[in-house]
Amino acid sequence: MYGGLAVRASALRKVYPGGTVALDGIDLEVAQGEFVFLLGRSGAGKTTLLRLLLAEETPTEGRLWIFGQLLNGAGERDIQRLRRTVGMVWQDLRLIRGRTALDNVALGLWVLGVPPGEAARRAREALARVGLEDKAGQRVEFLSSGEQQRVAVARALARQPRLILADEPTGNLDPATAWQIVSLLLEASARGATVIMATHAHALVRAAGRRVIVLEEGHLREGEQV
Amino acid sequence: MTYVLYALRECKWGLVRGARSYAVSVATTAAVLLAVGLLLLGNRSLEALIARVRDQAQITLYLKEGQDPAVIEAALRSLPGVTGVRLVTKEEALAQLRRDLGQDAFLLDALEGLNPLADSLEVAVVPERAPEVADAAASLAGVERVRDNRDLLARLVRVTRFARVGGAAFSTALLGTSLMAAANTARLTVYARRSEIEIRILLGAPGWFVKAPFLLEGVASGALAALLAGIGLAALYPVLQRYATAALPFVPVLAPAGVLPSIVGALLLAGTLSALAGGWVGATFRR
Repeated sequence: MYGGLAVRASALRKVYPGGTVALDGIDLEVAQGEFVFLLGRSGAGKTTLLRLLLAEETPTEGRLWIFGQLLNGAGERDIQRLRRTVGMVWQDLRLIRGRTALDNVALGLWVLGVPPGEAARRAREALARVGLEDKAGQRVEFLSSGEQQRVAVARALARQPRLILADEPTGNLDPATAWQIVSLLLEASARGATVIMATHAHALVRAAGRRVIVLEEGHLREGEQV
Repeated sequence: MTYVLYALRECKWGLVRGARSYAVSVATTAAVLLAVGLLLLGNRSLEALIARVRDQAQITLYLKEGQDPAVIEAALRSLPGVTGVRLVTKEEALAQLRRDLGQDAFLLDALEGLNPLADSLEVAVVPERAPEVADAAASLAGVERVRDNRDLLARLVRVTRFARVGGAAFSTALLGTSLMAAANTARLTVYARRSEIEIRILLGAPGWFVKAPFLLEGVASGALAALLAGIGLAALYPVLQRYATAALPFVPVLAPAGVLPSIVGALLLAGTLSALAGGWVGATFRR
């Protein structure tokens, strides 16, 4: 049933109130340490799939396991425990306004119980890796959208998660910076983290040469060429 | 320890960020607590008055003209509950009246040497036995009239009971208002910061990790409100003391050192707990 899988979905279906079918019978297996690109047009269900993986949404039908833990009917503590192993980069970034870039990144570590000093050190390191060491003390709302996106990536990476879910993490970045971010995610994957990255950036996908899955109107197609 | 430091840090940040709404909440709670403090003060004064009247349980017997006080005194001393008997002769009573009248003592000159007062016996009794001693004394031969403080005590007890029940009800209502104010502030704060809360939850924060800063903010604002109410009470106390002494000279005025610390302590406790409860109610959100 588990077999070293990070993600396993079986006949996964998500229908939103109003009848919109976001996912329709998805079967998916992602091995631990694997890097997977998730492609598809806007509205194809990429974000819904990532939200299901974070237990931010519940499936209408089907079953979903993360690291062997069945998410269907999981309790609050199990979900909390799962989320603590995940580094999420949301499409809408979800940074806390009024707080500095450093605070936003460190928050992801405070939640894990990392002591303040160490959290600050690791947050600075993560910001440096995304090229924002000189912006650490700036409030996020005063950063450009590309910089904000990198803060969100830094927050996910700083947690050294087992699973990274990245929803279009390079959408606002120039090609060079976008590749820098993908490289960081590839590094994380090389260290053992499982990465699922939703993107429209076909050039990046080609350059990275990793597994690709495509979502189309709620259906999944494996191994598509891009 | 990490979580505690985090909660304190977030609490500080939250108080600064929500300074305006917390200022309103602190002002409302402080006003409520000040009113509660004044009620407590009034209640304490009434209780002190009752205690004094009760402690001074004394019966005064006015004797008929020509009676031998020694006979009645001996009868009184044999009664259970009597702890002392003192004779006040009619001459002593007149001298006391003259002293009491002060500048108006000249009015007594109109008596032209006559003394209309009677010899009296002041009987000290154990408070609980006062009613039966008074009844027994009234039946003694040679006693013209008996005066005791039973009626006064009964009236005071009634007033105090009313004040206590009314004060408790009013205080409860006021504290309920304060709790609702704290809950509303917490709710508004939670609403204003709902996206942050959601982010923390999605990052895997434990429930209390998310909730603790709001509770601490509530406790801090409640304690501040109680402190302000305490300072207000301490500032008002001398003024009230002056007015009370002038308007109700028979009411014992309590020394500030004896009454204020406990009332301020009660306010601190009430303010903090109501804010904590309000914060708990307000910061209860779905995960």
